[in-house]
Amino acid sequence: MLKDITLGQYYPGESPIHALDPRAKILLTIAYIAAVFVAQSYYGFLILLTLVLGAVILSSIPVGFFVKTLKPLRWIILFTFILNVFFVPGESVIFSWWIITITREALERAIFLAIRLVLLISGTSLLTLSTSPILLTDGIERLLSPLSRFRFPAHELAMMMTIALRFIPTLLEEAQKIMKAQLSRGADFESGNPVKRAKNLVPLLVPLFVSAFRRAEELALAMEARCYHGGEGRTRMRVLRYEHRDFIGFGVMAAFIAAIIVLGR
Amino acid sequence: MMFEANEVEYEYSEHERALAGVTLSINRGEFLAVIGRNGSGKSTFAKLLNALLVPSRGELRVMGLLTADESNVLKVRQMAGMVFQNPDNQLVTTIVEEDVAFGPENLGVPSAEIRARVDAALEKVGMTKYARYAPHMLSGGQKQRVAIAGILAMRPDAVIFDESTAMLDPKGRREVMSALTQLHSEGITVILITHFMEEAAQAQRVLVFENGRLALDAPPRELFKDAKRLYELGLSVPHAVELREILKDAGFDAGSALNMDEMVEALCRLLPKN
Repeated sequence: MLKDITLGQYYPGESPIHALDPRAKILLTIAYIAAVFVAQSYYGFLILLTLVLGAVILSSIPVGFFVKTLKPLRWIILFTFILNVFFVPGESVIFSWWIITITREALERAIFLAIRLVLLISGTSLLTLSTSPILLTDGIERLLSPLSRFRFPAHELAMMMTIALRFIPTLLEEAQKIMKAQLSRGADFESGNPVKRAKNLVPLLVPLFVSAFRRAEELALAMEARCYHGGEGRTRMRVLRYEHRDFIGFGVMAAFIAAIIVLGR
Repeated sequence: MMFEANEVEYEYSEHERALAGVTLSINRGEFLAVIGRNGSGKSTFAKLLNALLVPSRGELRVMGLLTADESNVLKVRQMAGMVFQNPDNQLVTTIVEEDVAFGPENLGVPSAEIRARVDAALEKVGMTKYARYAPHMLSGGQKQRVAIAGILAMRPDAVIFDESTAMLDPKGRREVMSALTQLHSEGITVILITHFMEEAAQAQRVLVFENGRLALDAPPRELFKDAKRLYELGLSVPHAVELREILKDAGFDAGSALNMDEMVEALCRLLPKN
């Protein structure tokens, strides 16, 4: 059923990784991304791998979920690998035939890049797997809120994300309903070439958009009736507070980055 | 005085007058139903009550505060909460309890107090079990109860139901009506805009709108005495009243029965004793 779709890819749990403050997790993820680019040797990658594996085990999220996040990107990884193997210039030739030459430097570079991509994706997906969309939105809002002094719409952005998340299942359900209604009147969503199929979607999309706008208008009215007047003077029920574990998280990350800088460059 | 309207008029544009010459007052703790055909102005009246609309002419006061005054708007909306028709289009967030917290958050209530208010409001509408659910997993009646909790968390003096039962199945309708009567019993002013006469009959006082004017203003027992007048206004009457009329034409007097229980009582009295 469409109703049961999971939003994002959140894997609910009670692990220490899940319990981290969303702001801490976002900051740690950014630090991790930086660390991936700092690492320049197999040692560095080994250290990063230890970090990721440690965090994955601690999160008690099945490894299969991480493999799943890598799957859609396998072609990109393969493509960059091939591109690098063939086009990075180098000196020590391993293999040469016709116009194709593979050098040791190119091969190494390609392997590095592939490892880097895999580490990058699996590490960052830990954030989305272990944090519910609503906490993620909250974390983003609060991390960005200092910028609202420079007129950056942090609250508005978070509110938009919240409403989008709220209405995705509602609109999906509605799309299904409209689809059935149009099918019963002889609409055809399945046959024909891609151009024709895209054209056939019009009777689905037009009513969906009309209804989405109507919903938006009603929601705006309901929000106004509940005293919504932007982010100013607004408090939140959920208070985010950094706990000991968050500082431990920062400490561990700092130690790993230091190790990479010393050993892995 | 909860609401005071004085010669209130509202026009959407120059040629589209939705409401005219409405003068009335609604006491604190009253349970009032508003009925009328589509386009009679009853929904416009509801939106005027919590300052979503402001009278084009005349004045409307909520607990003495003028709705036309921009600085009163938040206070007015806090005092007179509103539950809308479509249960899907008034819940804002992805988790029930967060949605209930939305109103108090907007009012700037401290976090710990919001928590307490949300728990109390969910308890009151019997939705505590569903606090962590996503709204789209709930039934229509449950969604409306969450919406009611969202209003209660703002500690209102009055709750306006703008056809809040119209899109629900009978079970959902009963859920909302029982929540509503409970609010009334706790001293909250309840204003119910509806096109179900059975619901209107439960109120203490019924307003009938017709062409943007207040046509009738009476307690239900009195109002439904004259079924013909309501038919003229394009409205129906509760089933019990309908049956009463039929019985009357057939020469039986079923008294002033308004609902099923009273009707059963009246019929028993009519039956020849043997």
